[in-house]
Amino acid sequence: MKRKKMSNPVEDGPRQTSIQSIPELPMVIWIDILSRLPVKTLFNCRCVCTSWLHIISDPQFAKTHLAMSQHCPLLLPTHPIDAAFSRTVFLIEGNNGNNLDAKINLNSRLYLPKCDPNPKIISERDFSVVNSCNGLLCLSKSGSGDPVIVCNPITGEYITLPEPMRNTSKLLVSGLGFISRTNQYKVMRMFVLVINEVIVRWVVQNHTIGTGSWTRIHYLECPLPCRPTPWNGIFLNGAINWFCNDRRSSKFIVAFDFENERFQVVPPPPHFGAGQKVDISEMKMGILGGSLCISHFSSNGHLDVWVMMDYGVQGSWTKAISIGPFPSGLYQRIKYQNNGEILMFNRGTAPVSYNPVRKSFSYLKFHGIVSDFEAIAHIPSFVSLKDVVVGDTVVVLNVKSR
Amino acid sequence: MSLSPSTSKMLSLKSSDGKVLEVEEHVAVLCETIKSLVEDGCADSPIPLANVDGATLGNVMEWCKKHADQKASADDLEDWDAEFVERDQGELYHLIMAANYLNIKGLLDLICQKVADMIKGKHPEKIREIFNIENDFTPEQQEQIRKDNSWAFE
Repeated sequence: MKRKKMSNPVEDGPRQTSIQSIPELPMVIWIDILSRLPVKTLFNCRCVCTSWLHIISDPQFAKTHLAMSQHCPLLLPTHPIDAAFSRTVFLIEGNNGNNLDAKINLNSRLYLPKCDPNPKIISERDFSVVNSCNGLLCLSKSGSGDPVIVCNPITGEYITLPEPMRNTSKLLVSGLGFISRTNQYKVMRMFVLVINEVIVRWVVQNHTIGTGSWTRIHYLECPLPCRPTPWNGIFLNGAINWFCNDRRSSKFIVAFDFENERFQVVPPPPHFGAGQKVDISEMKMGILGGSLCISHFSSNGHLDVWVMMDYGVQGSWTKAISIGPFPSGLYQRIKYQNNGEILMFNRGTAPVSYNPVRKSFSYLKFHGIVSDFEAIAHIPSFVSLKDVVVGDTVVVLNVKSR
Repeated sequence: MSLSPSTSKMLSLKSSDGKVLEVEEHVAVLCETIKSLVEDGCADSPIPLANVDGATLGNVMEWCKKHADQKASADDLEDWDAEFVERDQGELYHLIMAANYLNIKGLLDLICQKVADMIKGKHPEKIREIFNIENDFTPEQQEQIRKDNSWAFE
């Protein structure tokens, strides 16, 4: 990139020998440097000069940046006061290490596409988030859970999914997944076919993003050991993970692997051993430091957070936090902060920052939002849906051009 | 006082401007480029490093020496690194180029993160000022990007 010809007095005293300086670094190094930045700063970097704009717009940069990025909380207002907020979400990126000023500025505002042309209540959200996967979000109409849109809230791009088979079927679970080997995003939905109030068979439908259709796998018996709870599937390690609603079983986490298209049981923490009653309404699944985690709020007021350090390995579950008594409610969707504190969210109340060294917590305030909210873990990315879709049957639209 | 093993072999490294530096082998092999030369038995004496000037080579080896020290704790290294990167932009440029050429991932990561931290949270005008970069957008392009950005991140 070009440098100004005049020497700049602001620059800290350049050395005699150094004629070249940082702007002249090779492209590959600039990709490395810029991919370390939060997306909010990258939007500023796009305006610096043409060569930075080209780097940040490049699909290879999007890939490198995605690989470097971590899960951040994405706040979804639940009861917005203003109808203008009904498709607004807020991204909370890493702080600068000096938190505990107890205020989080919500100035990273993003807009999601319209999911429901005829929402029932105008002042409420017209969408639900099915799940977040590898930089993209899968959305359904409010409360339905049936995927209709896949979008990237950072770029504003979105696509509408083809109409799946809906009649006489009851949706069990659904979600967006990613197969890194083939670089494909897929959406799955599992339902039961009911005829005359009798379950005929279980069906899993798969859709590869960018194609025009769904493919089907039929099962005569339920491929799951127990009934999954359809909401808040967590995509990790090539699979969506859900809780299963079976109080007697210690197999209470199930996953759908997108590569081999199979359901599998994920071993829970050994603490919840066989024979012990498990109440999943006391638990939330989330992602902490890139690993699957479960927050368990027990009846005696303690909050335990279990982290599966090595996915699929039962012996790798470790208790990351154990505190009590804890402010009432189930905390979920957690994020390690730069200063080692852990950010926790609970639907409707202020988020809590927990310091594991001092074993203390503090409430944080949001600046710029007057609403209840829920939070999900999302990796902000510049991945373009245009690079994801295969063929030209699917149109990629943008929220910005509406 | 260094207590490194007295058996450690010394390597001679020759910079682009002809300066020769004597470095203990266990320190120099933090550079993957030098390590593969040593492993292949191709480490001539002195090893010519055509892309690294003497001053930069001295700085790089100072970093390698600290990081080859088994006794240094993680906290100690972190503090030391934080001080090490407090340099002017010319020096940072030469360190990045040298770390890239000599293939020292730890050092490359460190300096790239330092430059990223100089950019983080700054406005475009401030970033241009810090790095002395010319704004080469046409007014039309500028307006288009502003429009693209304004929908998000107010």
